[in-house]
Amino acid sequence: MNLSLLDPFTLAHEFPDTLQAQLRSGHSTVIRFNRKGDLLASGRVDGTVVLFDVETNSLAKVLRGHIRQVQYLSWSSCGRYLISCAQDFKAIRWDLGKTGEGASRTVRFSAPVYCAELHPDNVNLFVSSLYEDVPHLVDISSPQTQKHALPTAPLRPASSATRAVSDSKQLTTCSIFTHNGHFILTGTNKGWLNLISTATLQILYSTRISNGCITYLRLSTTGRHLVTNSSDRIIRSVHLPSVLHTPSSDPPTLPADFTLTEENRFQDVVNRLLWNHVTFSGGLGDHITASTYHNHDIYIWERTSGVLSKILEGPKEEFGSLEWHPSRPMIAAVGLETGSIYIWGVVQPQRWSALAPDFGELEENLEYEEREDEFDIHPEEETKKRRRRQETEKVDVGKWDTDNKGFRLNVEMVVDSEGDEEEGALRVSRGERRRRRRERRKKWSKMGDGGCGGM
Amino acid sequence: MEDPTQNPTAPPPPAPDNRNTPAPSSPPPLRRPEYSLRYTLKGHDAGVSSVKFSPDGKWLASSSADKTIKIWDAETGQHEATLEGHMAGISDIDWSPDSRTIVSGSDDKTVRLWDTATAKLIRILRGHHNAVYSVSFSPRGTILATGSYDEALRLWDVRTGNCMKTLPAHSDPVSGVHFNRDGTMIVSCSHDGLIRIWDVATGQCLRTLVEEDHAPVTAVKFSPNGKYLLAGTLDSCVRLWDYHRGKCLKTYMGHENVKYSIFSDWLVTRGSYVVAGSEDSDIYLWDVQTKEVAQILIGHDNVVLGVSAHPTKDVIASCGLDKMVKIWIDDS
Repeated sequence: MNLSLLDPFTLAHEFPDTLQAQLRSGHSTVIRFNRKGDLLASGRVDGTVVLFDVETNSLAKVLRGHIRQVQYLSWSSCGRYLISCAQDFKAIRWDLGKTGEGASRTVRFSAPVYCAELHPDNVNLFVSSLYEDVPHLVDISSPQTQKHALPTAPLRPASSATRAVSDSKQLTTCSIFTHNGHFILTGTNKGWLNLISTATLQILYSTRISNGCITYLRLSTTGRHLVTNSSDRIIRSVHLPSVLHTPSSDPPTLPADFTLTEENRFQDVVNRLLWNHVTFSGGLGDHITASTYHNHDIYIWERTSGVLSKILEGPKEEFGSLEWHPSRPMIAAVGLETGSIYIWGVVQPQRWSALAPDFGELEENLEYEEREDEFDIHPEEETKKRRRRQETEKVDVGKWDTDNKGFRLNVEMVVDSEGDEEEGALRVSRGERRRRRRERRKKWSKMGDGGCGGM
Repeated sequence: MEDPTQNPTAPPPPAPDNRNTPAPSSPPPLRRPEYSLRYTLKGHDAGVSSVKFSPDGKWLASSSADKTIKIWDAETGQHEATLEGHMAGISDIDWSPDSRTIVSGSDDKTVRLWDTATAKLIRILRGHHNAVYSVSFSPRGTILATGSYDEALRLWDVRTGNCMKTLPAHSDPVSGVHFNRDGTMIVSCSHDGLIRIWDVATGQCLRTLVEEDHAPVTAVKFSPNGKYLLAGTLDSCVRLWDYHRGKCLKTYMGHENVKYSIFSDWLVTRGSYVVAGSEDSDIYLWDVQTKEVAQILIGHDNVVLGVSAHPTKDVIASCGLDKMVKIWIDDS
C-alpha cells in the first residue's frame, strides 16, 4: 500500500546492492522465505529450525525435532505449514498454527533426507529424495504414512543391456513439484531430468540436460521457469511449457511434441567457478542468483539475456544457501563458516520534498513565474468558506477487515531460544540499542572481574 | 433517553450552501443513526483518556489518569479486569490484532504490554525521554509505534521489546500514531500542525500534510481501506485527507475542540460516519459525504475525550473527564 508514495526511481531497483543486516541464531545451513515474505525459515547444524521475522529481524519461533543438520526447507503456499528434512533420516511437517502435540508430523526414512518439498495445494503430500536411495512421494493425510517409490531410470528408447544396467544405477538427487502439483521434476546424478506424473508415478518425459550430477532444482515463483545447478559448473534455465504450471483440477496430458529445452546457460568461463546454490529473483523471476564455491561473491544474471548484472560482495566468507525475497529487492545468504545469515537490500535516500508539502525536487534551476492572482488578497474567512463549499467529492472509506484472510503466525512474547546465545554471538537486530547496552555492561564487567564477559 | 436529534439545544448542522454545491443526485437511502445510551461504566477515579474496542469485538478497554487500565465486557458492560502498574496517568491504549495483548503509553515515560487473559504485565518498554502520548499496534502484531512528548516516534519489536527505530518525527509532542491496513506505513501527527506518513521498512518520511493554519493536530487515523486519513485539530475541526494528493477533502465542524486531545473514529458498520467527542460534553456523528451532523449523543457531564466504534456492531463507546465510560447502541 505504500507503493503509491514511494519514489518510482527507487522502486525501479531490481536487485539489492548493500549489506544491511546480519541475523544469527545458531549455525544456519539452509534458509527459505515463505510465500508472503514475512518470515524466513532457517535450518541449523544442530537440527533446530528457527523462523525469523523479516520486518523486525527478530526470532519469531523455534522448532525442535531434528537432531542432525537440516538439509532442505519448503513452505506451503498458505504459509501455515513448513517441511524440513535433515541428515537424521527424518522429515518433519510443522503446523505453525498449532503448538505442542499435533503441531508436527515426523516421517522416518532409511537414509539421510536431502530434499523434501511440499505439494503446492495439498499440505499432506510431499516428495523427498534420499541419500543413495530411491525418492518417495509421501502421503501423510492418514495416521499411517504412505510412501510411494518414484522411478529414477530415465525414459529412453530401449537399447543395450549395459545401458539398462547403468540406468538402473542412477540416483535421484533432487525432486520438486511443478507449480500446479500434477507433475514432479527430478534430477539424477547422471544429469538427467525426469518428469513424473503425481497421479500415476510414471516417468512421462526424460531429457539429459547436463553431463554432471544435478545438485539442485528450483522453480521461479510463477512456476514458469526452472533453474538447475549441476556439478559441471553450469547453471541452466529451462522454460516450462504452460501444461506444467497452469492450474487445473484434473491432471493434464502432455502434448505429443512435449520437450524441455534449455533457455540459457550461466557460467563463469574464466574462473570456472562451481556454484553452491542457485535461485530465482522474487516476483517474475527475471534474475538468477548463485553463490560460489570457495569464493565470497554472489552472482546475479538477467535470466532472458544471460548477461551478468551484478556481483554482490559481502563479508569475507563463502556462502551456501541463498534466497531472494518473494517481493522485495532483498537477498539473504548463509555464511558457511559462521552460520550467520546476511541480508542485502536497497538503501532508499530520503526524498526531501516529502518533508514539506510545498517543496519540490528540481533537477536544475527553474525561473519561477508567479501566477496572476498569486498575491491577491482575499478575506480569509471567505476563502475558507468557499473551500469548504467545494468539498463535495465522494469518498469511499471502506469497511474494517474483520475476516482474517490467510494464516498469521501467533506473536510469541517470549521466544524459547534457550542455549542459543553461544560464544558471545548476539543476534543483531535492526535496533542496536540493546546491543550497545550489553557491550557496555561487558566492558564494565571486564574492568571489574578480569573480563569473563558475562553474556 | 430522548432522541438527541430533536434536542433544541443541539447546534444546527452547518447549512449546506445550495448555490455552489450540486444537489446530491441520489439521496442516500440510509436512515439516520439512532444511538442511545445503554451502559454507564463507573470505576475509574480520574478522567478517562482513551477507550478502544478489541478487534474481535468482545472487550472494551479504557485507560485513565488514575494510572489504571480497565477491561470491560463489550456486550454486558461487566467489569472484567484492572491492569495496574503504571506510575502516572495513561494517555493512550491499543489492542493487538489477536485481542490478547494491550499496549499502554503513560506519562511515566514507559510503554507497557499487558496480557489480557491473565491481566499481567508482560513487558515494559523504556526509551522515550518524556511522557508517551500515543500508541499503536501494527496489523500483524509484531511492531509497536509510539509517539511521545519528546517529539520522537519510536518503533518497537514486540517480541523482544527492543526499540527498532527512533524517528525524529516532529517539533512538538507526537499526539497520534496509526498503522495502515497492511502495516507498510505509519501516520503520525503532532501539535506542530503536521501530519506525516512514514515507511515502516525504511523509517523514511513519505509525505507531509499540513493545513494552512497549522492548528495543532491531536488525533489521526487511517480509513478502513487505507486511502484516507481522519485528523482532529484544535481549531474545532475534524478533517478527512486524501494523502496521495495531499488534499483535505472534507471538514467536519460543529463540535468544540480547542484544548483537549480528542479522538475521532470511523463508524462504518451501517453507512459511513465520523464520530468524535467534544468539549461541550456531547458526541458528534457526521455523515462522511455530506458533512452534516447526523446525530449528537448527550450524556456525559464533562469533556468527551475518547470514542471508539465497534468493529462489527452498531456500538459506540465513549469516555471523558467525568470519569465515566459510556456504551451507546443503535438498536433500530
